[in-house]
Amino acid sequence: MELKFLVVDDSLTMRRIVTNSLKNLGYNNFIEASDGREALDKLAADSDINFIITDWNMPVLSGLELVKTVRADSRWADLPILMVTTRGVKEDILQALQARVNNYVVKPFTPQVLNEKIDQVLATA
Amino acid sequence: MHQTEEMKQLNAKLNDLQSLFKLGEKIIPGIQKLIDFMVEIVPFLNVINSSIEESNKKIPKASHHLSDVTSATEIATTEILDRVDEIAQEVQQSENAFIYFKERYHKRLELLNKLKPLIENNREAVSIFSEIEELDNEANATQTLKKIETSIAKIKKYLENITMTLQVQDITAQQLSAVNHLIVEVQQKLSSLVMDLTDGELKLRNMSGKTEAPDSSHFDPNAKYIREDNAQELVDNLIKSSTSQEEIDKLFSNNGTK
Repeated sequence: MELKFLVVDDSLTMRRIVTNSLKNLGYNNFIEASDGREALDKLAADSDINFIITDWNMPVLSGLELVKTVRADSRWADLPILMVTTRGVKEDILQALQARVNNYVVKPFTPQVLNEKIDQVLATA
Repeated sequence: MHQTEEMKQLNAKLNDLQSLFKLGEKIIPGIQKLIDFMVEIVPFLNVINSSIEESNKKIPKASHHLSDVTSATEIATTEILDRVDEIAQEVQQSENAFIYFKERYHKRLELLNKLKPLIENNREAVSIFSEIEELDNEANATQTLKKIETSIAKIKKYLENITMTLQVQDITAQQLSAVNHLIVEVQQKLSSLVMDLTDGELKLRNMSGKTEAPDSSHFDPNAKYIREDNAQELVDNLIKSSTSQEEIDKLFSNNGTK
């Protein structure tokens, strides 16, 4: 099954960097959203999305709220979610894990780390 | 007897009155000083007010400047990413052409090696064959191909590093948002300090040009650009140590949050 990524970040720069990294890793199917609310709308409109990569700090609806909302919906309860954020303290990581993100990447990241985490998420999904 | 008693009381009251006047004589200069002080301090307070008001008016401009810096760096970063993409495409085309050429070169070597025993009896052909071999040796073809291959790999790596380094734009944007948030908070505090003293009563003066503070949930105030693995190691260790949701919940409660 081909992977279709939903890349959620309010920073245009970060969306470009993540999508560029995905392209370099051989994943060419992705769409973008600039906040959690837009992500939920796109998720509802596109059933092909099967992987979310989301930032935490965003306007309108944060990444953490997005994760909680997604997990609370039976349609997306098992959808792989990778959080990519600057928040690297233990409390934050635990909050994200408790909200049931599948994995967590701290910015600035390398393509190797992103690749490794995507692989880990797919292996356990 | 009755009159004597009344005189005593009158005398006592007069003494009280005298004491009061004496006290008044002592207090009046103090009150006068207080009034003088107030007369002097009110213009001074007005100066402070004007100064705060003046500084306050500059804050929205400073705040907008910071937002402009973020927008400008985002545009510049996007342009750099566009150029990096263009270079990456050119490099990819060069690499494809190189791979094609390398395959053909190796095929050519294979064919030449097959040809060599077939021309052993033809002196002229052997001589031309030797020239071809010599040309290949002079060009040091195998090593040159290896060098080109290494260079292409290095350029791709450099481009990847440039892209990854540009994450600094997002991180500094978050830092600027945090500063902006603080500036607007300071503005709000200063606004509450500015009083209108002109009518002889204290009331809050309406401040113009108030700025909207960026919501603190939109940025990470602790965002920093440090290229080290410690933060990721912490994540990896936490994930390793908590393979089930129950274990995560346990870690979460042990950590004292929520």
